[in-house]
Amino acid sequence: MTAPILRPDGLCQVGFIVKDIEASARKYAETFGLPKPPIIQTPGFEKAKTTVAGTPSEATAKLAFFRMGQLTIELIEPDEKPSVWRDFLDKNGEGVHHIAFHVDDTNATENALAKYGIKTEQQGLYTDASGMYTYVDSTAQLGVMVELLESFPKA
Amino acid sequence: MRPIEGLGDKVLVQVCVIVDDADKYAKRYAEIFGIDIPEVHVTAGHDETNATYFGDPTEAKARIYHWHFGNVGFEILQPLGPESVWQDWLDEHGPSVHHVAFRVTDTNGVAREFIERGYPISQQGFFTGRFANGGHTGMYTYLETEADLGTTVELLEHYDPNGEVR
Repeated sequence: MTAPILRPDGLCQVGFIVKDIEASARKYAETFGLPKPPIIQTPGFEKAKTTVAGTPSEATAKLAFFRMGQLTIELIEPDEKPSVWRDFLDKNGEGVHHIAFHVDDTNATENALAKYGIKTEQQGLYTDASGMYTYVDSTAQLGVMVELLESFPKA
Repeated sequence: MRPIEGLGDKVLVQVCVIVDDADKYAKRYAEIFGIDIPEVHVTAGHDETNATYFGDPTEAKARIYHWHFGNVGFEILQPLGPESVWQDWLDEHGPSVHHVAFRVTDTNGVAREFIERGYPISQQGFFTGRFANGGHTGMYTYLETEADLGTTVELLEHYDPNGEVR
């Protein structure tokens, strides 16, 4: 038995696309009695090294996170530039965009998923450059887009 | 407005993906996550579940595969027949995440708080299967929270096998 491509217990996040992150974050905080989190503005290409379909991109988003046990709720308000986030909002409106899994080796995971026809759509560094994210288009195979989250070893 | 109380320590316990062919998707999940395909769970009809869809009895059933992804239940659900929020979701959105769930101990009390906030119950029913004493094992409730929270919230209440027979 070879090692699985994704570890089930690596499930850590449900990501939502929203139109107005202030309003959505307030609604989540009020409904569930959670502290209103800071709104994080992701940086442009120079810092985030964002690529969309392999091409460098200036797309950014505003993010807010709510920890709810093993799962964190991530709210994402995209800007107008093409990205998986903007794409989803234009096509589907607000809703669940992805589920995320921790991975140890993004490249190896991408290569293994490619054998199932699951390809990388967008990639970039965390806002603080402590790790990287990768969205793969697994909708046809898994019924949902998967995000790979890799934390870099601390130097 | 004060927050909703009684939502199992604010811990999400389940994610459900609605699909058009549970067997096909279960096979893919098994391959990619290196997990076994569990025995499929087919829910029972109204006789057993007392399921209601917008308040009216429904015979809607579902074909479900369930795994534990760490501490989170991960469910693949294929609707079987009309008059269910599951079929409505599949028809409108195609295969995609349908709900996240919280564990509760007082479904009626928690549901009332959602209703007061403008999130009515869309579908509700007992779990399929019974305790040795003949009582139901628990119940599920879907709230119409999509517009504000981006997804359906489900309440899951597991009854005490040694408690009141319901």
